[in-house]
Amino acid sequence: MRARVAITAAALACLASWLPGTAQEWSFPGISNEAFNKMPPGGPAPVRQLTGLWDAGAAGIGGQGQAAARDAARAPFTPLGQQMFARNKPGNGANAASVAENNDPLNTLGDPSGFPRIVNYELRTIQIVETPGQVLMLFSFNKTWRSIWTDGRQLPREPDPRWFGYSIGRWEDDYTFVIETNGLDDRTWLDNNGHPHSTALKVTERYRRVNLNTLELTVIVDDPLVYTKPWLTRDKLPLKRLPDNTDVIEQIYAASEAQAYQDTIASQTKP
Amino acid sequence: MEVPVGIRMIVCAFAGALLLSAPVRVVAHHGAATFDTEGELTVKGTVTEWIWSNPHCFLKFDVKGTDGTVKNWAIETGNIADSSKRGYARRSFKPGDAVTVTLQPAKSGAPVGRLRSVVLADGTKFQ
Repeated sequence: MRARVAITAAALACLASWLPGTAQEWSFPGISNEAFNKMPPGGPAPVRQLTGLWDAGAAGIGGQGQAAARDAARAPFTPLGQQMFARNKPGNGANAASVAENNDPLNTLGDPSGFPRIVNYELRTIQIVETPGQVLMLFSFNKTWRSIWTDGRQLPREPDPRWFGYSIGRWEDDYTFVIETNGLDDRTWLDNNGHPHSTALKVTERYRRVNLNTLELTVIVDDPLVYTKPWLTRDKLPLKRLPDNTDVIEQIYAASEAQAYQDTIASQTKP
Repeated sequence: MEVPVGIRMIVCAFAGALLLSAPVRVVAHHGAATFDTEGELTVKGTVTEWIWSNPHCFLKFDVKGTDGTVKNWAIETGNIADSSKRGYARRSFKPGDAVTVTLQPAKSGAPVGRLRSVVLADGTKFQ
C-alpha cells in the first residue's frame, strides 16, 4: 500500500514537473524546450475549437531552423523588393548588420510588430478566445491583440492600411481554421531578417488542430509588388496548449527602454 | 511515511535527468558582427545598476584597473521573458554586489558587451 502511494506521488510529481505554468504561478515566461518536447498529445482534437493558451517554444521566437526560414532565404524578390530589402538593416539573417547599424523599427524605435510579423517572429505565448462573431488572439509579446471576424463579412476592397490589417476567418474543415488578411501597413517588416512588404500584401494563415494539445500554424505571404510568388513564413509550426490557469508574462518593448538600450549599449558598439 | 529506496532512486534519476536538460539559451538579436565571440574575458567588479528591460536586460558594474582607474561596464543579456526562463529576476542584482562577470566584449573597444555568466559573492551563478 505504502509503495503504491509512493509510486502515485512520484508519478504525479514527475507529471507536474513536465507541465508548465501549473500551481497558480504568476508571470509565466513561456514554455521551455523540454516541456515543449515532452508535452503529450492529450487526446483527440476537439471539433472546431481553438480557445486556449498556446506556445510554440523557442521555434516561435526566432523563426529559425524551420523550413520556412530556408524558404525566406530564397525569397523571390521583384526589383522593387530587392531595393526595399537592401535598405533594411536587420539584426538577424543573411543580411544581418551590426547593433550600431541596425534599423529594425521594432527593436530600435519601439514600433509595433504589426501583422504578420507578430506570428513570424517573437511568437510567444498567445491566448485564443472565440466569441460568436470573432476569434481574438491575445499576444504576450507587446501585450497586443488581433480581431479575426467570423461573422460573414468580406475583406475590405480598398482598405486604409493598419498595423494589424483586416482579418476574416472560417473553418475549412472541422480541424482547420483559415484566416485571410489584407490592408497591412508597409512600415512593418515580415520578420526579424528584414524582409519587407508593401500595402498590397495578403496573408493566409492555417491553424490545424492536430490533437488536444497541438495546433499547427502555416503562414503564406503573397505580395506581388515585392515578391514574384507567394512563399511560406511558417510551415506547420507546432504550438502546444498551456494549462488554462497560466498567467502570461508582460513583455512589452517600451520606447523608453529601447532608447535606454540604444544609448547605453548599441551606440557604444560603433567601430 | 518512508519512501522505499527503489522509488527514491527512480525519483532521483528523474530529477537528475531534469537538471541535465537545462533550458537552452535563446538566440539574441545580433551576434558576431558586434561582439568578439572568440575573445571572452572574465572581470571582477561591483554592480552599479541592473536594468530589467526589453529588448535586453543589462548589468552595469565598475571594474578597477591595475592603475587604479575605474571603468563602468554595461553588459547585455536577453529580454525579460528569456532571462526569466534562465533564472534571472528583477531583483537578481543590487548596487554594491560583488560580481565576477564573463563576457564577450564589443569589437569597438568600448566597455560594453554580451553577458555569458555572472557569479555573486555567495557563489550564485547566472548564465
